[in-house]
Amino acid sequence: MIAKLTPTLLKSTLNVTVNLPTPTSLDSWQQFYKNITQIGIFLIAAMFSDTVSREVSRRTLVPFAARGLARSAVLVAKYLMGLILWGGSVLLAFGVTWGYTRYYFPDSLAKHPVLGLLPLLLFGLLLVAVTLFGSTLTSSGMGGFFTVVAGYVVMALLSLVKPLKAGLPLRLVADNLAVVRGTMPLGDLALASGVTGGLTVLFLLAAIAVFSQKRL
Amino acid sequence: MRNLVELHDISKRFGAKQVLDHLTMAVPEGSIYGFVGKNGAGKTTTMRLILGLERMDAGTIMFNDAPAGDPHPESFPTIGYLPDVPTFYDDMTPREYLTLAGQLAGMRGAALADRCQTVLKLVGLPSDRRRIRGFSRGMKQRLGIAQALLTEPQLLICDEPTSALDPSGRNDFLALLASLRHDMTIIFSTHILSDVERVADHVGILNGGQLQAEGTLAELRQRYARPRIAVQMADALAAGQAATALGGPATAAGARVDVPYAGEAAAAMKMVMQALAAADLIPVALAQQSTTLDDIFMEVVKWPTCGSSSIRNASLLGAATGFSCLASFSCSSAWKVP
Repeated sequence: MIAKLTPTLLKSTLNVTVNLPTPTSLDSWQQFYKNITQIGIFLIAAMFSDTVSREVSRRTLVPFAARGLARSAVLVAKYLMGLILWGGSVLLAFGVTWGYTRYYFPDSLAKHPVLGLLPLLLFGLLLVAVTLFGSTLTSSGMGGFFTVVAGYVVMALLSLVKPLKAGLPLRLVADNLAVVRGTMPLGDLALASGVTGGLTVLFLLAAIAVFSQKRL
Repeated sequence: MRNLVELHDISKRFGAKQVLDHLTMAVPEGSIYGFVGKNGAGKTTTMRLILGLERMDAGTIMFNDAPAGDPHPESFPTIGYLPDVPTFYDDMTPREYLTLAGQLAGMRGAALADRCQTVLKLVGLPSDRRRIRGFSRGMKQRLGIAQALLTEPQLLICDEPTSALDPSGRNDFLALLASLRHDMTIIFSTHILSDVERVADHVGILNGGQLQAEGTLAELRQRYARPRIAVQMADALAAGQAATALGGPATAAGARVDVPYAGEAAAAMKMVMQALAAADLIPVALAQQSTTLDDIFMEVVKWPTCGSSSIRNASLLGAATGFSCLASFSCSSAWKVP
């Protein structure tokens, strides 16, 4: 949107004409994925960061646990809630982006915008699981957030090792534009998707194991 | 009377601290069981073990004549718990919170709505749109008990429910507990012994990780009774002289002299008066003091290794001014009426 409006703004305020490359729908989608991966992911992690630690520190779960509510049920419910939060936010942002991209950039450069979204949604499964694990593991309200940051840094470092790069979950939020553009088939992300699924289950089980030992 | 809850040889350690050491106790069905002990004695730990919120190191818990696991979910629907500081989701209304609690316990529909209304009325909370955030401590305590009573439990466990309430709130809460007598079995821990005396019919005194004394109030009074005669003198000087004249176990505090005795109260009072008259001392007042739970508690926790048997086996050590002085080796002393 800014790219679209900048030449007009410069002309009307400074009375100068600047020759900028014409923005396309791909620029719009690139901005969407940048926003989600650079801000959105960490915003969701921060919002969801104290989901378990707050309950433990405030002892709000005690009456329910004393009445037999299974701890695993608590975590699964929170996980599903996290997924709804993630999915809802991403789909809302996607819908808004879709709308203004169609309106302002009616080109056909973005061939598979929906396919490009799928890896991002899949990445959310792991994101929420890691946040939940961090929130269960620590008593700090920011435990979930910092666990996600640490995980992100570890994946970024591992991505420097070429043989590992193809299977890193980070690819699910790095190669979306290539899928949108149609230059990368979704199948190329199969390994990264499998690893993401496996890690999600692992982190969820670890969170349940830690939580079952936690003193409420 | 059948026991609803039985704990056998329960041990629990936190790090280096042995909190419970082969604790054995029984809670009779239908009783209000006052669970008393000093701060840190292990009352909360014991309750949390019964609830399955802690894992015991050793021992067994029986609930309803069946061994309870660790934790023991099969017993849950029949236990209600009021923690010492109940906490809630503050942005909910009481009705929303109770509905959530009921749904998590498997209650549904109109039955749940009716039950929420009933318990809110029982504890005197309004069923309006006010958020829990704005509630006073007393109101939160009421909501806590409403939550605990929601599923009509067979056993209600309250952890120091009155410790942070003002006198009026305490009074209301104890009245509520008393009104539940016969509807359910209640265990409530406290260090406010007058609360126990007021509503409990059974008492357990926890000390050193073990139950040092257990029984009805009457049984404990009988077992640990240390009847005293309180002699009020004109001033502290006279009280000191009176204590000297009475000798042995008599102790002076301010203008008052406490004289423990064993035997008939009337005869002991007569002897005290005779001893004072012989010393030319005139008391302002003379009164027989009954044994309170405070006295029993102090007796039990002061000498943890010294139970009632050692008091019963006390030796006759000597006599003074015509009275026999009964004294144990380390625990107790009293005037003995011949």
